[in-house]
Amino acid sequence: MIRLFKLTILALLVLCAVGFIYCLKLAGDIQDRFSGRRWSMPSIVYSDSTLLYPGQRVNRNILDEKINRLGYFKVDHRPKTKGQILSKRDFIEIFLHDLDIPSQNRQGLPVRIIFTDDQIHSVENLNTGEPIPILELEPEEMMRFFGPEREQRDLVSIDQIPLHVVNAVIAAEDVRFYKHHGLDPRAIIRAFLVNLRHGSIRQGGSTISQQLAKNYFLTPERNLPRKIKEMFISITMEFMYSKDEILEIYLNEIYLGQKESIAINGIGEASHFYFNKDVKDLTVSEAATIAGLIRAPNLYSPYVNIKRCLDRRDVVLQIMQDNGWISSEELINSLKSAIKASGYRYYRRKAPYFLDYLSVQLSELYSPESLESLGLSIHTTLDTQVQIAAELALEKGLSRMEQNNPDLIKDEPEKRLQGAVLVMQPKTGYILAMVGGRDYAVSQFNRISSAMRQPGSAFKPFIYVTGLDSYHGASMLSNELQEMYNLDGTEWRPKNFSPVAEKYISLREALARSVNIPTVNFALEIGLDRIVEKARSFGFSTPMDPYPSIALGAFEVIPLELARGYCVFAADGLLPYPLSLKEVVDEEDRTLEQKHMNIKRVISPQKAYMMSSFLRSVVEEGTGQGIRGWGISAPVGAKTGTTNEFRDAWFVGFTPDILALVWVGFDDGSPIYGTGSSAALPIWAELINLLPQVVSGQWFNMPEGLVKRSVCRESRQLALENRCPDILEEVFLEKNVPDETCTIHKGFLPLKDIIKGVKDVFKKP
Amino acid sequence: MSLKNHKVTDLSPFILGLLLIGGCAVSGGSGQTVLEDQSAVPVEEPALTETEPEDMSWESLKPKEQEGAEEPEQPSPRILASLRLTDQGRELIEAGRPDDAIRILERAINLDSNNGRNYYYLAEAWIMKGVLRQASEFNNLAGQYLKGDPEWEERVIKQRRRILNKTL
Repeated sequence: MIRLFKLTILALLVLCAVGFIYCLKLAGDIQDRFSGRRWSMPSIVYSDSTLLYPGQRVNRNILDEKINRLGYFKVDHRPKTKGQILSKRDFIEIFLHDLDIPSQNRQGLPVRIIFTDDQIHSVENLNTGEPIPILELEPEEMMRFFGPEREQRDLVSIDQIPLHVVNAVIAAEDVRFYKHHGLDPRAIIRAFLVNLRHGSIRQGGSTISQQLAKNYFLTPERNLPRKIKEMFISITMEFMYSKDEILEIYLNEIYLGQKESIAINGIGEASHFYFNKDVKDLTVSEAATIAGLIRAPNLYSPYVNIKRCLDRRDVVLQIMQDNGWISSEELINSLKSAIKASGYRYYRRKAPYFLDYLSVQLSELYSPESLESLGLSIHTTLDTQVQIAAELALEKGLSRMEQNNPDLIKDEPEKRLQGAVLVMQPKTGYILAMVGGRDYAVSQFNRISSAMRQPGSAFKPFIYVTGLDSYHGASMLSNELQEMYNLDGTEWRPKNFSPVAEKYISLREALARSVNIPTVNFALEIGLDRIVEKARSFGFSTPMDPYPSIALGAFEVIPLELARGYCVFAADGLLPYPLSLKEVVDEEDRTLEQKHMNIKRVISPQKAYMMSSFLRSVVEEGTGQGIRGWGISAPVGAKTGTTNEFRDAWFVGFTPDILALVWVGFDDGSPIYGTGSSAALPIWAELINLLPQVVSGQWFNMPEGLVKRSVCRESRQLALENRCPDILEEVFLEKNVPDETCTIHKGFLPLKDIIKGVKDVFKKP
Repeated sequence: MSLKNHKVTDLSPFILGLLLIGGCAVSGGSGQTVLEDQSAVPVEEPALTETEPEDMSWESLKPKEQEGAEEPEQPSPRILASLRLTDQGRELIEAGRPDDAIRILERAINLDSNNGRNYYYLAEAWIMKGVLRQASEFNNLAGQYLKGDPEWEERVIKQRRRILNKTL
């Protein structure tokens, strides 16, 4: 008997020793896994910071949204700590976060920003009362490189999660979480009885630690060895980490739903997906709703079945009240409240096409593993206010087109009318916004950086600029068809979009009105090979043949390259490299990469000025006049483009401060029944109207080497004072000033001037 | 709208303001003058900080009231904000931090692309970094935008010579 007892004791000791050794092994695995996930720092992508200064015009709605996205929370008193904001119609008082960007560190401080109408009246330091001449708001976090595929995950620390959210999750999944040590015998017995009653596995009885163990270390199948291992891991984990640490990892890992191909992981991300708010702002009802999803996210999702979702939420609320975590009153109020999910449309990745474009560049510098673990801070040129305005303007413009023409409406999401917008700063090449399509969830194809579409008339400026050594705005071009235009061995006849009566038309007018025949004639006159060569210098990389149809943009371009080419006209003849990545900084604030504006001269500043002047005529008196109807009064240079059978509509417009390209079309080339003026221009105009801060209202300074002369509108020769009835001002290269005066009005005084002269004589006292 | 109604501003209000403050007359010199100077025998220029005027702070850039003088046109808030950044950029160059200076000056250009000083300092930063092709492009832009300001024109010419000397 004693021997048996000894043997039993020995066996138990051996078992304990084996268990202990096994736990030690598991501890190593757990530490590796957790340190690989919890303490490895995903790299974070940031937008550019935002400058605010007195006198700046602002779009208050877009600015307020930005401040909200920066994580400031509203209070109804003067802000006392970092992150608080008091927002009123005429002013905001905001206690700024610390600013920590390359080369700049600023402690958070309270400031007051006073608004008058649509501009900032003043900015002052609330501590000292001193005016602040220029204020920099911190960059916005855009994305974290998390997991093998980059994914957007809003990580939250346990301190940021309100108690009622924690309690809701515990109520839903593991009521005795803070009382057990990884295993809950009561829950196991309860699950055993339920399963016995049903003759199958219906309930797991797993604690939160066990669920984490299962998700982190084990395969999904249910069998005894796996269950035993799960228990060991769970117990080991509880020895190694505090309850709050375990809960924090659980809450950031847990699977909570799906939007198309995107998995929604973590409570922070789920808060945005279901309610479009931060986890700190969730109500009790919303917290219970999300907690209720854990069991089967796609079954209880409010987007799938609201009734099931409500029932499940109510169960969670009841458990919370049973455990004293909410009062009876809170229970009643929460049960009464409806579940108001924000809707799929509010949940989207931020600037997804821009981030794709950036990721390609980053992948040339860093491996995916490095981006996941090195905790790099990646600073970009993205201006989120411009990005949001571009997204809004595009969606609004495309929807309006569909409303006006039901033929454009397609049932299948991937066949819908598409559009793309790119906004750049022409001098520096900064990409401020990139919208590569209408809905990233439906199509990730970036129509700005990857599409190849015919530019149509939007290519004409590159024809005209090629001939500026010997031609000028007043040069007269033939509007008559030549005998034959050879297009790869076959005859080709260009047509004007609408009838143009004149036999000759000035270069400026031909571009402003986008007249085709004079443009083709001009291209043939200056030489097609020269045009191709010039276009290459503007950065076009797509195949381009020296056919006459090149004059009308009948070949394919990448929209990004087209926009970049236009930058030259707005940047004194310099071609900028399109910049999206600015800086990469490591955890210790060491700069690893720094990209600066990179410029290359393509044409002289004089020619660039002439081109910008011609393109301004497009808006003043040509095909771009429509923007005036949209309330844009600032000087703008622009060009429209429409391709055969209305496959593509373009509008590229610029000021000295900003350049934006808009493309509208179907991916399969179906007609959109609209032109650059009717389809793309309104989107451009709405975008600019949403961004009063980006347009200064200035125009370009005329560089030396150019002169202005008055020319007769009719003859386009130098005007004769008191002879020519309609005089224009034209800009010439000094070397190209025409010396011939108007031959039409030479030698006679118009009748009205004779009458006026006679009248003046009699008026004199 | 006819083309004769196009209003083209040859000099930004700020430059006009500066000229009034400094009592500088707009030079009648042309681009040719610059080129002639450029062909002169290159002279080694002293370091930037030595060639800079004594007071190049923000205060010195602001238009000041002058007795009896007409009040200069007030620069737009956007131009003023840009100038603050220009000043920061200059300080960073003086502190030997060209990369940080470039970052600030690029933002200054985004606010006011007509301010030639930004290009001058960008050229300076690129000289410090030893990238002379970029320095040369920015120097050309500085020359273009600072035309009519004799003091700055001279600095731009000297900077050009320094770039040429380093290139050769």
